[in-house]
Amino acid sequence: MTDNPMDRATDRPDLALDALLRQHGRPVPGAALGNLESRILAQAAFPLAARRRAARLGVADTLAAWVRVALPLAAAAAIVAVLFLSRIDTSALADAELRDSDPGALLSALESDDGSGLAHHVIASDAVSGGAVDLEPR
Amino acid sequence: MTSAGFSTGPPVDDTTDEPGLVVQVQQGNSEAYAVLVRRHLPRAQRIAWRLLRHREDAEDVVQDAFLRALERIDQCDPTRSFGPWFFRIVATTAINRHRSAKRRETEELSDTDVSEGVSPMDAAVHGVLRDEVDAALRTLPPIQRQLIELVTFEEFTPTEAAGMLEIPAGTARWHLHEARKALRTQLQSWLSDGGEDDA
Repeated sequence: MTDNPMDRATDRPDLALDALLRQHGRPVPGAALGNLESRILAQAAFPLAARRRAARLGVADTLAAWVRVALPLAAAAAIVAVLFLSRIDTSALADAELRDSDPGALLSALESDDGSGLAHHVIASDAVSGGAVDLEPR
Repeated sequence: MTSAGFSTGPPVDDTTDEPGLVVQVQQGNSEAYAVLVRRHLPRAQRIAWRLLRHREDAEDVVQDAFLRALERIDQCDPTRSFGPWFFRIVATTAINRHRSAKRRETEELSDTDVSEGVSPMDAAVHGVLRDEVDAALRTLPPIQRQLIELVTFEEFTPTEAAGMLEIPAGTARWHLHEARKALRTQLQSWLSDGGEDDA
């Protein structure tokens, strides 16, 4: 539209007319701009305060969002850690049982050609120490 | 530093660039807002007066426009100048007031119409001519007079004025053309080359 020749023709300024208007057009009356500025700033005080409050709440919301994400992650990590530690404890318990068992029987269990010899030995140890495990010879 | 109470960024002063000021205002910095007000108030007041031709109405419009600008400051693109965006709000506010309110035709006379040191004859001629220019402008349809005020007196481009008055640029050009043609006819006797072809 701006390239339309008709637009260019109508855009052409009339220098003499514009000069006459500018020179003799009614000037803008003076205004008490200081007073007007004070009124404008006073009127803006509340909206600006609301914006500052919103900006502060925005920061708080960001922190809260981080907490909302971080807390579940921390809880999950704690659960994983507890599970991991409990597994370690279980292994340690088994080790202790093996240590308390008969070294000769343990050795023979390890040397047996059956891969489950060690497990049988552990179960047998439990049975001897009072457990009610029914051990079936293979 | 600032009177904002809650500083959300670097300190601002009259030399701070407009994008920085706009961002600060978006966060509620009152000092940044004050700088913008000081920077744009005089022209905003002139624009409002030219569109309304009434000083008190113009001041009310400027006050409203600054408040609206603050309410909508999040829509102001900080990478662009605040002025054109704000002057459009001023013009829109003024036009809305012009449409909704009954125009008070009584307008106070300017107290700065004749400068000192001008001979009585020149002052009289100036007074007569000013009245004729004013009368000629008043005969124009409102949209044409407003375009002449914005383009000729406030030196906005026709496209900028069209945006401020929320009309298509082509329509604004046509109205300007018609307005100039009418003014030339009415002020022909005062134009040195009066009667110039307007095609």
